[in-house]
Amino acid sequence: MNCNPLPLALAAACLGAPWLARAEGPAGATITPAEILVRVDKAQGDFEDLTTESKLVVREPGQATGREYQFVTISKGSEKRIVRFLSPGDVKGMGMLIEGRDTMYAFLPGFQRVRRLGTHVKNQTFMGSDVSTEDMAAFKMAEVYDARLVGEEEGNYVVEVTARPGKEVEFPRRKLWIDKKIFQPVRLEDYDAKGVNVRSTTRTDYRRDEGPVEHWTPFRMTIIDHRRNDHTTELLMTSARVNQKVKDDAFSQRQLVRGQ
Amino acid sequence: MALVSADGEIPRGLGFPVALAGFAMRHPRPVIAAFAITLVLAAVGAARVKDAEDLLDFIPPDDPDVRLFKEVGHTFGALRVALVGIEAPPGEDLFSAATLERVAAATAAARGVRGIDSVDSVTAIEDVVAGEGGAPDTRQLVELDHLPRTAEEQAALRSKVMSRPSVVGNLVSRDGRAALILAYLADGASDRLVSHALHQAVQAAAGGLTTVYGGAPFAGSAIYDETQADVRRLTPLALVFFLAVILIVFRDPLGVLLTIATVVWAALVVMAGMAFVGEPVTPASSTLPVMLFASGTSYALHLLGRYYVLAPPPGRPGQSLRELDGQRLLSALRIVGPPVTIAALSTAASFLALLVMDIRPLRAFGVECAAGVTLALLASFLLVPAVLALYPRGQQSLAATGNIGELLVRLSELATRRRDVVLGLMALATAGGVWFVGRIQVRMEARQFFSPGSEPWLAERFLADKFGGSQILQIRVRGDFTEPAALHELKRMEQYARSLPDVTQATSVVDVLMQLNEVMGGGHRIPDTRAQVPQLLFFVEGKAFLKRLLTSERDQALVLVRTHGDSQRLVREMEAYLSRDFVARPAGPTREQVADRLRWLTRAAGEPIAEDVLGRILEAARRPDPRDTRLVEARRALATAILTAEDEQDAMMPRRRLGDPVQVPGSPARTLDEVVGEFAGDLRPPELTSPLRQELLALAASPEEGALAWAAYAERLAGRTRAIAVDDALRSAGPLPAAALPAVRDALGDLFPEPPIAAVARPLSWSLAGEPILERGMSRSVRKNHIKAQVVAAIAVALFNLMLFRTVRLAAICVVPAACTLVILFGATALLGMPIDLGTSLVSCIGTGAGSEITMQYLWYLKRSTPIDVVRFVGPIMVLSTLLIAAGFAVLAFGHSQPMRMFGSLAALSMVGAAGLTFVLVPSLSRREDAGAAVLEEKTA
Repeated sequence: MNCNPLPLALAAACLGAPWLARAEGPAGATITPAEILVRVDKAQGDFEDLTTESKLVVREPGQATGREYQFVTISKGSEKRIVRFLSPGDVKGMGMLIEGRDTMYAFLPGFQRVRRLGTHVKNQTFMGSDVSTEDMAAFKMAEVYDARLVGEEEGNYVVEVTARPGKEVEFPRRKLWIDKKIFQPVRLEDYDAKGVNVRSTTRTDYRRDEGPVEHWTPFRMTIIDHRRNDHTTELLMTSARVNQKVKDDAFSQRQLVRGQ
Repeated sequence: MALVSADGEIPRGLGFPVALAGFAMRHPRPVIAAFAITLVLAAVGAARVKDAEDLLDFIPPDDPDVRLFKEVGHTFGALRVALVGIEAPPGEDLFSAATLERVAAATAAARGVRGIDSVDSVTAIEDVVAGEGGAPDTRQLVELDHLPRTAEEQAALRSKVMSRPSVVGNLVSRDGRAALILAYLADGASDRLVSHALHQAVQAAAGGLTTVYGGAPFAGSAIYDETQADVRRLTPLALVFFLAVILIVFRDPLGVLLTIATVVWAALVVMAGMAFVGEPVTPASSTLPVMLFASGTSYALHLLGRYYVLAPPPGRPGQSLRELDGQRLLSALRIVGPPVTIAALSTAASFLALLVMDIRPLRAFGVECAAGVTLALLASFLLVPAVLALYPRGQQSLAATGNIGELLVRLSELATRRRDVVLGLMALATAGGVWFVGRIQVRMEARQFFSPGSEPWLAERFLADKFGGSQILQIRVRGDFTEPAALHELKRMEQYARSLPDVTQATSVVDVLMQLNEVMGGGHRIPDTRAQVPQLLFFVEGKAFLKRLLTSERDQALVLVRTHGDSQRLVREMEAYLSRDFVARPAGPTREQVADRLRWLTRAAGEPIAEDVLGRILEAARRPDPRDTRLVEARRALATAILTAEDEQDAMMPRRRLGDPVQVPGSPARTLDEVVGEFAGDLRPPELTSPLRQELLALAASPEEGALAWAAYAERLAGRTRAIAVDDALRSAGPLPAAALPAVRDALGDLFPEPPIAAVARPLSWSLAGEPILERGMSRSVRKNHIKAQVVAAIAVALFNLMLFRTVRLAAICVVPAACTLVILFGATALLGMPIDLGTSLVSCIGTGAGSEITMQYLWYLKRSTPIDVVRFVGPIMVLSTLLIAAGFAVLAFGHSQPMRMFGSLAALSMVGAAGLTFVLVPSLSRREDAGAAVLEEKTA
């Protein structure tokens, strides 16, 4: 394991987001576990551009309040993304540009500098939160995991996925509760190689994004890392707009500096 | 023997022993059955009593130092740190793949222990480096996927690791042969459980490498375990000793059995009670059996002793032998009942005096001992008569003690003859004791308690040798640590601390920021502006090492100072510095502060700078003239790099060549070379209003990119200006210690901030925390408790004696020998430079209670006899009884545990001293009318 991304990397990814999806309607009765995963993958990233405003709240165990970050993310396709921090004041104006999985830049207004970031971001967390970089990765679950339907609970498929041999992932086993209507996970449990539940996530308050096409976003996500004494992170969306005709040249270092 | 037949009047309120014994003798079988049943039940209950897990219970919760220690620990997540040292195999260093793998395995094992919050080690630590794109990046310092396989790779890794000041002496020893794992305990985790689990896990994972275990959790657990082991080992020894002595004195196995039974029953009932209310066994309460054997056996002893020597009363016709024996027992009780009762109540009261202490386990211990003593008394008045009612013993003489009696008589006569000398000497010794007691040292450092050769002792030595000690003082500073001026104040504090003797390391968030700033191209120095600091911290947000140095709100920072010397001296020196030199509203380094820093830095490097050299350096430290050719060339080079986009990273300018024509609106056409010339010749400071900035903005693709280019130019020019100024200043200095040179350059560079450093908006404040402060708080608490408990015990004992004697004078005399003994004993301890600890402070209570009991017995019999008879006939019994108690305590002096040894020795000495002084002081202090026989004579006359 190596690396520290610029935390911005995460923020950026936050918004490309496996938890943004288009509702697919009720599931067929005969759907297989593999098909469920494909439907989940399809529900993610099916947009031309997406602009979201989010708030990340990181709380230490036993603390009622935590440090908050607000940022706007503009995404185009699955590769290009630009993130701008709105608060707190000491990071306001900072920005990050993702031109692809291997090319990321950060703009630091305090230094009046743009820096290219390291791309090795695996197993790292964002801003001391419990969001790992792998959460942000745009990989398709169906390509990495084998799935097994272990039951159905309250309108959700309960699917257990196991990493295929040779696939390097942070969590070799995960358990997902997938909403039958929108094919989005509403709850996830991540297990380490020893089979210990190391992290739990809930995704709630799915809302349709503003825009000409139908997209759904969980406006509240809570992640609890059991390895860190139940350290908690909340990601709260405040707005989500889809297909706003964002131009390609919005994703350049110059635009990052210009702050547009 | 007047004493034996002198059944005096029983003081009011003290007749219940006779009543209880009478009841037991009338119903012996039910009483014995009740004792047997409760004994069995208590044994079952006592088996369920739990061991204490949280050693922080011994911390006085209301002490301000302790509160601060806890608060800072919670804030920075480093309340308790367990240290695990791992040594490379002989002849090797740490950097072979095999050793690193084992260190990594031990680190992973430590991380997996329940109750461990986070772990630092050389195989887990992240390193701030320049990423491939120039941004700060954190990577594993030792990449476990690429461990060195060849000698060259090993040497390269060694070189890399040993070049990190934050790692060397902290996670890796200076010789590169030992690693240190720092395991931070989660809030609320049990020191003992976690340290035991950690020990096991690391031992198993380290694959045969030598490991040592230190730090507060291991130290506390070791002290606890050692105390427990001592108690388990020594209690049977004490028991055997008591059995042997009582058997020799009584020559009756039943008497021995009864004496032991009263105490065993009392101890088991107390322990069952502890299990019932959920009170755990602490290092203090684990001594309960020994304490009860020492103090609780004397009640049955006195009763049986008197019973054995009494002759049966003359019988009436028809009276059975059993009835006559019962009267004999009641006669014995009339003699010994009141003093034994008062003795037990006084001892219980002196234990209850521990309730004034602010340490909960000691308060509990006081209650437990008081309950045990009271129960032992109760058993003496119920069980002993019940058994003797069924199995009466004939009159018998006790072991011969004539020689002791004669010796005591001579001593007593001497004291009476030389009354003035005796009292004068005692007054002098007591005054001397009082004088020295005021200077007694209280030390609660864990390492004071380690026995040589024990595991924590070895760990302490290992940590001192390899890592510069295990004691870390924390200086918590409040303020806004995004302000450069606040960071400069932290750095100053850090450099002062590092210059102190025995300080091996001082770190703070400033070190992290300077490293990040260097990676960003700003040099190894504190960032210049308030906007830069949070943006640098952004790169390491959430990292464990940052959380231990700075709060996420940036409003509290810690400076960690490690020492291998006297941590309390470090505390005093840092407090003195902070009170004298700390600046609450700093506005950037002044020349005087920089001069101080140069003194400290060179002192820390072992070559203090001479004052005349320092004067020359400061005199020469001046901002260079803008016309200085070195600056002119610097401006030319920097402008060329930026305007030609040679430097793509920091200045997004269009790519041009020096000969290319450029057109700035409102200016004539020029070549780029001419523009560069303008930059080189510009003598104005590179401010935002500079016309050259406007040119750069115009030549860029956008104003934003031009602003970027100007910022890069201005910052680099400031850096070059600073470097020239520092070079010029140092030119006049002559050779300076190489180890200090980078920091000396940095300190001098701080005289030339660009832009000027603004004064902090929020004032700074400081407080000291960490283990040394916890120890100071505990020491203060021990000192306070020691005095408070002794005073309360003395008052309580005097009140009980007042109840017995009905005169204030005699009640006061009862306390005098014990009080004088304790004052002299603790005075001598202070004189010998021996510090006292938590356990030792208990001696004052116990010494007051048990010591005054001897005097009280003396006076009680004096009221019923002549002084000579008391000394000759009761004296030896008192001496034996005292020696028995003292020996009980002295057994503890054979333990491995240092506090236990100290406690045992002092308690035994206080008993012997109180007895000795009783035979010397009481004859001098008592009056003729105190003797019962004399009063009788007068009445007859």
